[in-house]
Amino acid sequence: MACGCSSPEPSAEAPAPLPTGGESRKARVRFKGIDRLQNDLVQALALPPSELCTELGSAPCAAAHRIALGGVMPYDRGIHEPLPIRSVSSPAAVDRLVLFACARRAELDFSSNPALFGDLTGPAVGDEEARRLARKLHNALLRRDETPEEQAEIVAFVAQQKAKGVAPRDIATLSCYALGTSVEALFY
Amino acid sequence: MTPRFSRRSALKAALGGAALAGSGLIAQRKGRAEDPSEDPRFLIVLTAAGGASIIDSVLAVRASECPDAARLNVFPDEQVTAIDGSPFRAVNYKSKKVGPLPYAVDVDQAPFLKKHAADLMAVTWTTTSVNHAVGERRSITGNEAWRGRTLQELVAAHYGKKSLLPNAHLVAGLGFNEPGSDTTLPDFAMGEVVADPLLWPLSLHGTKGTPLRDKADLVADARALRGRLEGASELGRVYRNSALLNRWRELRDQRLISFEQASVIDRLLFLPDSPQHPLQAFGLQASPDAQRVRDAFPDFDRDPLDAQAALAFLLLKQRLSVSVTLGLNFELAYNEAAGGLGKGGLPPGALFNLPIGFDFSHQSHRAAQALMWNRVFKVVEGLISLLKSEEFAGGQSFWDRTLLYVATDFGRTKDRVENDEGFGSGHDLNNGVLMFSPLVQGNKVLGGVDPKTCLTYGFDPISGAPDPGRTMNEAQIFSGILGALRVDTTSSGLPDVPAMRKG
Repeated sequence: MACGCSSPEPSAEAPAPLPTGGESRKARVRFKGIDRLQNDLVQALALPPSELCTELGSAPCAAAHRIALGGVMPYDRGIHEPLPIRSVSSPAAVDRLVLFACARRAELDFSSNPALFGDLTGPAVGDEEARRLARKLHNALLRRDETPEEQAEIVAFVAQQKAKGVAPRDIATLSCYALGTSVEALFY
Repeated sequence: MTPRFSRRSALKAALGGAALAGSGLIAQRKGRAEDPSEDPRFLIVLTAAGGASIIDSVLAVRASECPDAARLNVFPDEQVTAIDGSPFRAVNYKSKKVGPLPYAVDVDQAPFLKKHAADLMAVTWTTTSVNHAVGERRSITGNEAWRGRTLQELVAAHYGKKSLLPNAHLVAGLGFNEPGSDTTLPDFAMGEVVADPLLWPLSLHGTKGTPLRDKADLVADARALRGRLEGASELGRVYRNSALLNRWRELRDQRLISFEQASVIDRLLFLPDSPQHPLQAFGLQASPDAQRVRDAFPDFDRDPLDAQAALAFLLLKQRLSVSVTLGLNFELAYNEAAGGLGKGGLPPGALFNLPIGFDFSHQSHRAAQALMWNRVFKVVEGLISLLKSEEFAGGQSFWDRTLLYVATDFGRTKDRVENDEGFGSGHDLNNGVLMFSPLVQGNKVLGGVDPKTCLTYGFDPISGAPDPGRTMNEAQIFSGILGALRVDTTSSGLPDVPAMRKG
């Protein structure tokens, strides 16, 4: 329908063309930070916060790596706002936090009633068990189902590690670590 | 401390070091391209938060010199010691309390100053703010003298291209730690904040000390899986253009791997293996220098400044950093285990940092300044000792290439209620700062103090001659520090202050 109005002049700051392939043009994401991250892991792995991660057996990671993990320490360090992510200490601290937590979950699952890794505690670990692991890990850590491609990756990984003779408990920890440290688990 | 390199190599350094140090300058003058990171200088910024007053230290004034002694901050003559062969003075001060705090102060600055006068330069200035945060920032940016970059950033940008952590901030939350305002600063030169020097080295490795510490190959497989899962995920596709996610992946997949391969964690941990910190049980080992730094800074597990200094030395020695910022802040620090709280006061040596640091001078100027200057000198002593004992190359020690700048917010007011020995002071623009380094004009005061007013005055920036009619500004001192460190300031527009540098 003609409206009789003229089309607007192109402005000097015309918006960038829409990207192809469904990418977000603004691509704005935020790091979860220590408190959200810790809460998510507590829920995903059914662990009390005190058992999530301790450095050297006694120092809670949430305190030891608080600044690297996007936290603040206003009273004793004068850091009132999260610092920008600039250094390796952030991804390294995330690696440590998630590794400790996943290893603790695996330790519990392989010694008593399993909460997450039950499919790997049986006598045989095949593709079916690996598929169930992929589903449980995605549900727990990312709160969604896995895609077929993601499932295939985890199934292949489990098979690869099994062929190398890696203990199922370690396979459980490693799979959990891989997904728990992926950007989808850390940013929102 | 015994030097860890030979007398012969030290002699060689004395003869050839100057040539070595000068070669960079000559190359610069000839316009020859040279990589400064191959010939670095090191900057230590020691923060003296709250207003470290220079007339309560090396420029103290005796009562007999001042016509208005009863109403100005001058000391009884017997409390000021001349340091032989040097223009410096030392304060010798005793008090049974620090204002309302029942803590005995017994400080003599003379032994330290006698030992280090040759590498000490006092420079006067008059700053532009009596606000703590603003004054602190201006003390490291020269009041935004060079595109808002900080001294630490400039040294890191110039010398730290090949360092893993060029600009480390071991104290936090002060104006001295604020990033500069130049958005074109190379990313690698920006400051890295270390909140806990004791445990921070753990955050430089993803797996050492964790339950999978012996399974690095398996973790590598899991990391590869992570990359594939991210490639397959919807989030990976939708946020392909996220600068933050791309930065994160770069840090995680490239930088962290370099740190792990370089075993940085093993070079920086200095905790002792103990029931409280069972390093070996977690497959960890302390730095080979751990015992030395613990000996130099024995309160490392009680006093944050000792812990910072220990790590600062290791960062420099390991060539991981070219600029380290450490220092005393506004937080109370004391040795709780020493007892005494609620029982008449802490025992001697148990109070490390006064609440609000040097700014406790509001309550009790003399005692606070004496206690805090003593704290500054103690940590400087430890750092110089360690750096002198460590060979850099060709017989030169690390100390031969280091400048330690005692940065402070501003000075303190000079007046007092008549004959009041327990007076408090306010903030004042007029002051001076100390630099310790073989790279500066040692055993020298640039400028001076007028004993009639206790105000400092400036100097000729070229010759260094004292000039009672002049005051120096932040940009001049900022430039002088960069000049002493031989940072290329071409096209910076900074004033040249050759009087501050050696050679």
